[in-house]
Amino acid sequence: MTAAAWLALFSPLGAAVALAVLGDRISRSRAGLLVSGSVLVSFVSSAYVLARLLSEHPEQRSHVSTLWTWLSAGDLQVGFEILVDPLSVFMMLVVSGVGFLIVSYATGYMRGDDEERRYHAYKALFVFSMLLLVQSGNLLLLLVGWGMVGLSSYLLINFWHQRRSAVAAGKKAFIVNAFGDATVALGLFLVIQRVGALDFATVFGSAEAEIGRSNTVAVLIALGLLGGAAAKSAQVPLHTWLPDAMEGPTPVSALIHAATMVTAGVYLIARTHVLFELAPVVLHTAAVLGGVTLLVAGVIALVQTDIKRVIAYSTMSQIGYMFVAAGVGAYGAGMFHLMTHAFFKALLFMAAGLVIHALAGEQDIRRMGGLGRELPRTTRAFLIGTLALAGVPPLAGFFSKDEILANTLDGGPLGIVLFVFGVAGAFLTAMYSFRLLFVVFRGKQSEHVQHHLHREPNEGPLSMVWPVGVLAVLAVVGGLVSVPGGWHAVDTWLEPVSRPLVHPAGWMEAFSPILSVCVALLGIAVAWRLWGQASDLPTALARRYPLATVALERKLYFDEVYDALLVRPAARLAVTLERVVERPIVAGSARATAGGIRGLASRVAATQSGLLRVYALVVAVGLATLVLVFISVR
Amino acid sequence: MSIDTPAIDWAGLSPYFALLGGIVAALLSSVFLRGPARNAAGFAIAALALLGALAAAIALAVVDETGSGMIADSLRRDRLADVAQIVVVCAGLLAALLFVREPDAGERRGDAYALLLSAVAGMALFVAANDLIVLFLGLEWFSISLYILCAVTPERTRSLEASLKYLIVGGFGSAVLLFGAALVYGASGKLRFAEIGLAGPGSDRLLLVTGLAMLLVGLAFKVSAAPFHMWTPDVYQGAPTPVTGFMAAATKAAALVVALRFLTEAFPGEAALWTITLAVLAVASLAVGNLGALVQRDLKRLLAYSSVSHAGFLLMPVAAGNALGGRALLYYLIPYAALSVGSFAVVAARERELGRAVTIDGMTGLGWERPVHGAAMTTFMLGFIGLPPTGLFLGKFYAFSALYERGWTWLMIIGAVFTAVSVAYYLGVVRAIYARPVLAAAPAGGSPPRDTAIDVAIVASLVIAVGTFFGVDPLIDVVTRAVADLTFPF
Repeated sequence: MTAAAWLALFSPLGAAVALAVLGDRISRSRAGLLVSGSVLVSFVSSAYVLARLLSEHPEQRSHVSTLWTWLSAGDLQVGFEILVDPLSVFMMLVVSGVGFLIVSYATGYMRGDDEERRYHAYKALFVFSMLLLVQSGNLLLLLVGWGMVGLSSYLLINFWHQRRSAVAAGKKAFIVNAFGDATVALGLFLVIQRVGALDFATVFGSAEAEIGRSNTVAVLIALGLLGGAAAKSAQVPLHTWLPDAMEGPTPVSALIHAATMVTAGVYLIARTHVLFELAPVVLHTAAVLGGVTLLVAGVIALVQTDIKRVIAYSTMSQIGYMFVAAGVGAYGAGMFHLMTHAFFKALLFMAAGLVIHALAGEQDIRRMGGLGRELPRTTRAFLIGTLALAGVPPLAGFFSKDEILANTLDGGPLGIVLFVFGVAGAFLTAMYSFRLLFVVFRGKQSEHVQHHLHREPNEGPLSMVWPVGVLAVLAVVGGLVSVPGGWHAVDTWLEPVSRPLVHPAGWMEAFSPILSVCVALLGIAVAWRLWGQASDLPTALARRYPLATVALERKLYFDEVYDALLVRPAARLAVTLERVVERPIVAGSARATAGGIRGLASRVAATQSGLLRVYALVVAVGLATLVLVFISVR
Repeated sequence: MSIDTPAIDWAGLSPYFALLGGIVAALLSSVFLRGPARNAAGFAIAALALLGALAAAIALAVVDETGSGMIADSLRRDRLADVAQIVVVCAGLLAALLFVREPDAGERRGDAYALLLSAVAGMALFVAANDLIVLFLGLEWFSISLYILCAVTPERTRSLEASLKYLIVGGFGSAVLLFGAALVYGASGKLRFAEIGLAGPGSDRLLLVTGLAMLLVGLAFKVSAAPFHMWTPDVYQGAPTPVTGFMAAATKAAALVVALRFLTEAFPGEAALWTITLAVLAVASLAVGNLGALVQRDLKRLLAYSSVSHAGFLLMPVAAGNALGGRALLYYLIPYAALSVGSFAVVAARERELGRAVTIDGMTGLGWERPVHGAAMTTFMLGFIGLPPTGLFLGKFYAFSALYERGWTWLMIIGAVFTAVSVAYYLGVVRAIYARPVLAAAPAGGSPPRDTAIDVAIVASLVIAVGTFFGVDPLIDVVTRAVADLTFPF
């Protein structure tokens, strides 16, 4: 069984290495096939592992497999080891399953791009990194995967490196994520210092004894992990990179910036929940961050005009829900939403990709409209995604979101506040998602559409259409694995790894779906009133509240504030330092040092005259010195 | 009446027999065969003999749980010797690959293989030495082989000059070592290392420490530790590149292993003296090596100074004088040998392509023209600095750990400072590799035919260098067992 898990891990890496080695000796289409094939291998192996785990007793579903021990320094042993347990298998299935669909889609989407092979190689590298992150059996390897997904995300965001904006977006994503990596690393140093180990079993087993509860160290460790989680999952205030990351190709947005990597923060909290539970303050902070993010992102999504950015804000908002769930201790609910979100958000991105594909790269929704008649299948797919996102029963998003809301109700006073946030978020979600649907697919066709729409049979190449179909089905039925009042398959499955802290009562499971469905329908109605038909209400509203509109269009000034608080002072400080310190002192002394060293170096080299008698003399002097010293200290 | 035949440890001697048989066969083949067949046969014999010796050494390393003496206790058969022999034989194998198409060697390639085997055999004996006589015998055996190997391309004046310089200065060094050995024998009346150590307190200290000083000088000579390094740049530059690669990797490894065994066994009582001496030599080597490398343009000369600086790094764990230092030395040697042979292999390939000596400018554009060579050389350079993913990263880590355990923070700091200096010239090479190629640097007379042997050597070195990083734990296990029999003074 662990062999299958290793196979799942290394198969994408093999594809990436093969592509790197083969270069242009492999055809473009074969390169795509190789990568999707390798991810399919991962998926099949993961499914096999799942089947084997299912046949075991729930309490015994945890297997560590060590390929080798890499380093042992004193008592600290770090090995290349993976952990196969319900949580990691769950994530492996999501990553490789959704990953396979998106990689297949990408073979169609990227066809004809100049550097198709490079794209596929990066994609395979990403899948490997993500699997490493979720399969790792110790915190160090997890951090390696954590850093590598950041790297592959960076490489893919600025894949079209001719575009300045893409390069800038890649850098921004990398810097924000590096901040998160650093806080995680600092947290791990504290873990090493206190526990003296990094493997999950030892750390979690002895955490309470070695670290203690709610003291400074416990809080710092959890904060370090939370910093990484928030940066990777684009939670306020570390969220600004995600909308910019939409500069990457659409399948990248679907895979990395919707379905898998950005949800790694939720996985991290669920995986290291023991450390978080030692510092409940930080766990609650995570929940509050999530609550704030889901509202902020939902509001901003209302006015954005780039189709992918709207979906990106929606992603942030939905991950906000997952953070809320993880923060109140409903890990199963958070992971459940992670899974359904992977289905319907990947679906939305890929349907959006079909739209962009059909419109020759156009992403501005103001230049779309009336596409419903032209692209009926895409519209249906988009509608399914939107309904699932808005939480309309019986689609996937309904079950998972309502499980989160029901769980918050059991979370004490903070939980009640978060519940209110969540319900308000449901309203916003319904409103912005249907706004997008209406603006893009209903109404009059814009001139742009009339000129640029190129029709293809089936609305796109087959390789792009079938994954969308599969995801549409999953977005419809994926929620049925967990039904309020009935069964909670995800919760039960994950229970041995992360026991939830909250247990919603029956009335909570009944009350929250009813309320949230009403709210969602209200949101849809409002969206219909504003954007569903020809109306000047939106412009009238914008004119009436100009400040709010501008604030939202500017994404609540996060970028501006960071620019003013961090980037520009840093740049000014750098310029000043360069003038006051760097040039006269550092460069001066470095030049002096380097000059001195070079001078010294030439003198050393000058002793190397090539003359044997000099060499012999030096040896003789050295020998004489040594003998004399030895005799005198004897 | 019957004659008591001495018990002969055939198994323990098997690596030597493999190599000796190879020497005889290689010499005979170079007498009886002509033309291409001679070269092919020479390589095949050398490779077979080395592989045989490697297999034997590995087998011995597996079975030798406790050490034993051979041939009237003059040779040790233990894991320390086995591991050192593995390193030396592997360096020899890689060097043999480099010889396959060495253009300057011409008709003499057959002899070169025999000499290479002879040098390897000498080193194998050297690292197993258990008394002063075998120590000197092994040293001279491999040294003389190397003197001749340096001159195996007599059409090049530099090669002859290198050989002659090496012979004269090396002869001086050997004489000093022999004199030192005589003094030590005179002081203690013993030849065997362990017995010298036991006799230490009762012997004449004046003679003993004078002898120790001279033995240290003789070994420092072979390690190319400053100030006894003066021959290194000239010889490394002048010798045929395959020979240089072999010397850089194997001579240093053999001499350091012998120094470790000899000093800990024969001079435990003088440990304070020799550890501080080695620390001073290490500092001098770091200074001279790194400063000297900064101003070099010729790549082989640069690598020669780099080898002097690494003599400093390698002396640090020996100077620490503790068990951790012993492990660190032995571990460090493995990736270091791979990096040395590998980097000289890239130089050899480039040299044949350009048809002249390789300077830093001569590396311009290598990364674009030969991506594998470029990537390998970059890895080697980063490895020499001590960066992952090569084993030298952990080698330096362990060496510094040993110093830390000894309490010599000052030496760690000096090591770190000179590591920073070394970044300048190693990265200079990397910069050249990935600079855009200048058209004028195009090879004179077209590219040489593709040389699979050299590619194999480069890739093998790369695999070892990187593999030691990932496989650190099993290797540490191996070297821990290898030094388990030694008693460290600190």
